[in-house]
Amino acid sequence: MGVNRNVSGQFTVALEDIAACRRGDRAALDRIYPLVYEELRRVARSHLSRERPGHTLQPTALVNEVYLRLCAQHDADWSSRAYVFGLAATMMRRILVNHARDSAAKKRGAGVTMLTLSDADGLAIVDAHDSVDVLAIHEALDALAQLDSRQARVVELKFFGGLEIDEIATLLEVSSATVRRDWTMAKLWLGRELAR
Amino acid sequence: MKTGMSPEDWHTLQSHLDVLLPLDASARQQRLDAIAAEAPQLATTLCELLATESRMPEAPDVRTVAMAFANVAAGEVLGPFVLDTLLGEGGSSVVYRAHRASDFSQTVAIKVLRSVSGRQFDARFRQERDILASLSHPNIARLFDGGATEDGRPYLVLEYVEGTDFVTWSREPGRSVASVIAAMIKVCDAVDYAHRRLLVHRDLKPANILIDADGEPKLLDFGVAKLLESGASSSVTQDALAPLTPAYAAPEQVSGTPVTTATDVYSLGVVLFEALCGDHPYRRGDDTAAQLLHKVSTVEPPCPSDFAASAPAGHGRVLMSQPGDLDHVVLHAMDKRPEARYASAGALADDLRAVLASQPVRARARTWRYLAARFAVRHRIGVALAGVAAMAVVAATSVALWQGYVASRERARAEKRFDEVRQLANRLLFRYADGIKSLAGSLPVQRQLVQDALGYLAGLRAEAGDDPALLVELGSAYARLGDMQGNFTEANAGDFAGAAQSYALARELLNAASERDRRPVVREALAELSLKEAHLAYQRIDHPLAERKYQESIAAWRDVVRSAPERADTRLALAAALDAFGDFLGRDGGVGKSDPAAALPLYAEARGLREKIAEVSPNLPGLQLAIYESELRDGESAWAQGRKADAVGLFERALTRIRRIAAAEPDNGYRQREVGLVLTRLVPAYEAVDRLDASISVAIEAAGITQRMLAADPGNEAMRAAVTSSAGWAARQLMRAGRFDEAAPFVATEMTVAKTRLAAAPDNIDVQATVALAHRRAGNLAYGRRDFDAAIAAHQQARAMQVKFRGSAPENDMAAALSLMHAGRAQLAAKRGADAYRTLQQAAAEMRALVSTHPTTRFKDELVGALNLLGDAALNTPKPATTASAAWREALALIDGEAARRALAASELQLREAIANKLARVQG
Repeated sequence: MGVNRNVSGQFTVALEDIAACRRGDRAALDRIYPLVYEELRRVARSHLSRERPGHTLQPTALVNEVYLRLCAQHDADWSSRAYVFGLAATMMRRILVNHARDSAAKKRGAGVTMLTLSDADGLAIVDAHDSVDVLAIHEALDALAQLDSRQARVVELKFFGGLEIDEIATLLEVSSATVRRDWTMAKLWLGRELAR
Repeated sequence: MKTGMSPEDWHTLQSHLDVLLPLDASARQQRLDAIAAEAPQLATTLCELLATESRMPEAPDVRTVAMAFANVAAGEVLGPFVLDTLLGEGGSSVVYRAHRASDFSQTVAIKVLRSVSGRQFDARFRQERDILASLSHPNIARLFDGGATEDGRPYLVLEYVEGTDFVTWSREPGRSVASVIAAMIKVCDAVDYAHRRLLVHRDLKPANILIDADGEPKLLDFGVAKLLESGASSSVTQDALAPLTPAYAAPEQVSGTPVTTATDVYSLGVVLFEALCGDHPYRRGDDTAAQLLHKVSTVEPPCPSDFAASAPAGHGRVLMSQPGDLDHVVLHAMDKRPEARYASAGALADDLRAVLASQPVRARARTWRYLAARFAVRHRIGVALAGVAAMAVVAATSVALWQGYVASRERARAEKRFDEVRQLANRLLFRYADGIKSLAGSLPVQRQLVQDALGYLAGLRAEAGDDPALLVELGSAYARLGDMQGNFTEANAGDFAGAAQSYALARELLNAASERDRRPVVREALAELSLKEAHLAYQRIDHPLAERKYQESIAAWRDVVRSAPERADTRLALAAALDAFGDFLGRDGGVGKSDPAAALPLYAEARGLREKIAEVSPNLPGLQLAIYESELRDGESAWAQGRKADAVGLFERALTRIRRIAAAEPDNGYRQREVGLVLTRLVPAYEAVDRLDASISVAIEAAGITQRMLAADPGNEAMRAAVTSSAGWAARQLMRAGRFDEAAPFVATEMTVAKTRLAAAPDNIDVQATVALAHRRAGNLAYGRRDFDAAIAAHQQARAMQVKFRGSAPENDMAAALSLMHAGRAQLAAKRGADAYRTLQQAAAEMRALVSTHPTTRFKDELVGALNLLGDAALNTPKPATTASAAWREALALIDGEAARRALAASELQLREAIANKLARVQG
């Protein structure tokens, strides 16, 4: 329950599940989280496979598409939409950070084994040339969370999830002006942190 | 916190930034200067913050996102986990890093097995997984969970470990021999911990021994090799198919002999060698897997210090430089003979500790036999030298004296170890394995215990030669192994051929022991083995052998009882052997001799023995069960004699007792099975006294009990056999009452389980007979649903199987004849009168022949049924009416013959009346 397949065979998320998640229902979260994740991945991969590297791979575009695929037919309210976007933003951060970590580990040399591979004969390595140091941003963001957790969350939603200021305001239940100030302040703090 | 900033600091800074940000450059600088005048540190921080305003990007760039998603593994969802990154991929599995979907902080590694199909993902896999999940040791990576993907591939959720493999780590700068040994000791202790919980790794190698950033070792994939195997096959006899890594596999893994804890000791030896000497002992760069496997079996490992000293450039870093005890330790662990290695990983750890403490190691002692042999060789050399020079004679003699001293001193030590190992093996065998014998699902663990014990005992035998007591222990161990492979009276894997081999080995050992030792313990072991051999011969329908072995066992038990008449346990054993022989001779429905009268005196003697014990020691353990055995056979005897109402009463009495015994031992699957057994005896008995409803309900209850037991113990042939029998009865009775839709699931269960049994023992006649019977059930279901063509086909299929083993046992001959009868009945219903007549005529002829040699009540009943149908069929052919009346007259004569001996049941009287009416009509 809570998860349905629509006519085109695609999974959709039920509104009541989103509502339950927002109330902190762990079981509902366990149901919809994987769906959002899978959808995010599917959307990104479909863009990649179409070899259309361009603006479509911006987090904003990805997250929007995920939302449309999962929830659009419900005409969900703003807060539900923002909530799903929030989940997607956390996932984006996770995915990018994991990738950055793996790249870093591979660069550290052959001596580091992430995990045993009893039969690791075909380890697929995609080397990355990260223009943005995602790992540094991630670590700085963790440090910022110690000082002001809402600012850190705003950065996560904006930077990793591509959410608009208004959407973030809805999700965090604060005014747009507050979000704008948080974003500005956080950018300054992070900029200084990254420069150190 | 690395920024050294507090939330309050940041709050203050922001209030300044609120003011500064809207200002233009010059106003901003003015304001900053003012702040600097009072708080220079604050102004510096504000400057830094403002200067980096544009450093933080608005969003990750496309390339970063593209790369990250290109590397997001399947993105698949497994249970509550989502896969993040592909960590590695190999022949049998794919490993991902993953996290709990709703909790990013929980990172795990997930191994998805792709070589295994969902169909084979069975309860055994789950059971192994649960055992592994119970391992909790700081140096063993945890197995958290396991399950199956949507498309049925099993996966394991493992602790995610970051670290460096053991050999690579050992070559890092700053490592010393001591630090490598210290880490290896921890590894050995962890392995020992698992061994003591009956888990063998089977695939220890550097990549499975990671050293984390703190220098702590973590063992990965503990038991996963075994788990892979358990997923790959439901048979427990496939050690040879287990995945292995050639470079670290032990010789016994290559040869396919049982894997024990000694296997892990070997692999640890190889890893230690490689870490200390800079290279693998025999792997060379261009070796193929086959070459490596060959070397594992044939090439003696070089002495580590020699190897290290001669290492050419290009090898890894060489830590070991001096010859010494470490050479002995490594070589002892890597001995080609499992029994000659360290008895445990703990013993290897002890010797490594001794090396670190510069104390004498055990490895150097080896065994006294080994030392004696070496002494002899040196002594001969000494003597040879004596021919050359007198000085040499003196030298050789003094060496010999010293060696002799060493040998005798070590002998005491070696003998002590010998006794320890022997005690351990016997504990494994008789205390632990027997202790869990009756627990549902314990067969794999039992088998591991017995195989470990066998490994130890075989090792001792290699040293001790033919010590009779050791031979008895070894013989008993093989007998136990045989039981688990295929003793149909207890938990077994249905591997009857394997059982025969094990029993033969046991026989050889026990015979050798009895030549030297005639103590009761040897004779008892032989008496017991004869009974096991008899059971196996019975199961394989080798009547002459079974008969001889049962008699041999009974004679041996009588002999034991005579020499110690005060012992109750041996008298109970004699009673059990008498019952077993009686079952073989007369049990209805069994594939024995179908001669119930011959069983009576045996059953009576067994009952007498038990009653006498009950008078003297009524509370003896096992006595209640023994009395139940007699009550059950009382019922069976009454049934065989046609005393159907008596049989019902006796079965009900046996049922009451076994229910009480079973209730007291709820974990004991065998007591539950016994309840199921009595219930199935009651099924035909109730039917015979015209209580069809009661018959149906006991059949359904029996099927329910046995199916629950099989679910708990799916690898157990004894439980599978109980299910085919009870589901068959339930289906048969429901169909008899016309309740075909209720019968259908039982028919399906019977067929499925019968085929599982056949897969485990394809050449076994008894199991083939079970499959044929399942076809009969399917045929009868089709008949009941009026699909006569399907019914005919099913019965013909059953018949085709049954004719292959005609002549093996009367019951099997009857089964083949019955298939003809059922096929004929369906042909008659399909209005194929001529076919029906021919088929039924053949059925009646075969049954007549059987009744003439085995005139049991049931065989006669079946013949009456066939003759009744034959008469009907005859009327559907152009044959004269006298053909039909001849058949019916013969049927009536049979019924009347029975009536002269006993009172007939109502159903039998009805049948008689119906046949008599038909006869009257034809004649009139």
